[in-house]
Amino acid sequence: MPTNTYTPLATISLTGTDSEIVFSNIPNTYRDLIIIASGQSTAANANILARFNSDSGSNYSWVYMGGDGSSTFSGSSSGTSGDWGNFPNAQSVSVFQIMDYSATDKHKTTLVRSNTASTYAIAYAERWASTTAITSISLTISGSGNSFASGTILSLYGVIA
Amino acid sequence: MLIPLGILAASGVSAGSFDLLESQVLTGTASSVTFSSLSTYASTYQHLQLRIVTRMGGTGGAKSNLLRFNGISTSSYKSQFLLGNGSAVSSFSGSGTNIFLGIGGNLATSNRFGAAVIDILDPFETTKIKVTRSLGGEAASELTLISGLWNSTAAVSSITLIPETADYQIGSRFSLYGIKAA
Repeated sequence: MPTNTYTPLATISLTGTDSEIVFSNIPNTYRDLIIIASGQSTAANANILARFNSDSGSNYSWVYMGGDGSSTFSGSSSGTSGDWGNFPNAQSVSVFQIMDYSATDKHKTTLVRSNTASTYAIAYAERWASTTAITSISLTISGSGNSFASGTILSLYGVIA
Repeated sequence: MLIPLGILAASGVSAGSFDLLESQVLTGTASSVTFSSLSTYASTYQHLQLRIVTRMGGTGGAKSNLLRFNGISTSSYKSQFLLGNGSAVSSFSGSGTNIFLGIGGNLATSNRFGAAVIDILDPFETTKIKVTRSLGGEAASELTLISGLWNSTAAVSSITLIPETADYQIGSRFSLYGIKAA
């Protein structure tokens, strides 16, 4: 029996700058989460950083590929936050697909599309090396003192399976 | 800003045209996974989306999820790749007996799975060949954007997913969604 899904769980529209957005108390009743971020940051060269469940350990890794209008690039890295792609002080739209977020038998994979027409088009595959169900997501902007800019909208959706 | 979801999640406002149709989560290994009898959805849905999280047997290099329509295994498929392996971006194409999707995880590392989101556009139209697009990857390996084609105007009646190597492992998840027409 088809079941309607892609349920809006939360939307935040910033009326001022904000250094951190946290979605908390995420229920385990969905299978995937999708976050759409539309807006910009306060810095010319900045990325969105993500942490799950306040985990600040070196449990995040990623591979990416992109283009900057004249050349392509690919890289990989790891760290204490997931690098979720370019979000500079120019209009950007990013989509984050957090797959099987509530599963406890696998590490968590996030697929990222990061789009800023004035800088890059980039895609990422991310891994959080934990089998714990995700109950909170913290989003910040890389670089000291940088923030999400006023007018940025972040929307969280749940998808059942 | 902290956004507690308890109240908002409980209200569960649900509207729109995106429906979960079927889902399979493996409790044992499987050589393939099939969604069949899809013609029952043709009158309601314009497009389909697959959301998969997969792990394959073996410990070797990156291996792909493969897709076939209607059980057809002839050389009637084509895939165009944009692939990033952590060092460089490559572009290539291939024709063959299936469409390539994003890669899955394998047994080299515990709990290692790959994921992909695949859009199947106008699957029930009989006036056009079938086109797919996918974004998939596994963080320790590679990331792909793939355009796929099945050179047939037949309406899609089944979708089969096949691991490029060994079997799909326990915990692999395959979910099919329909997007309604206006």
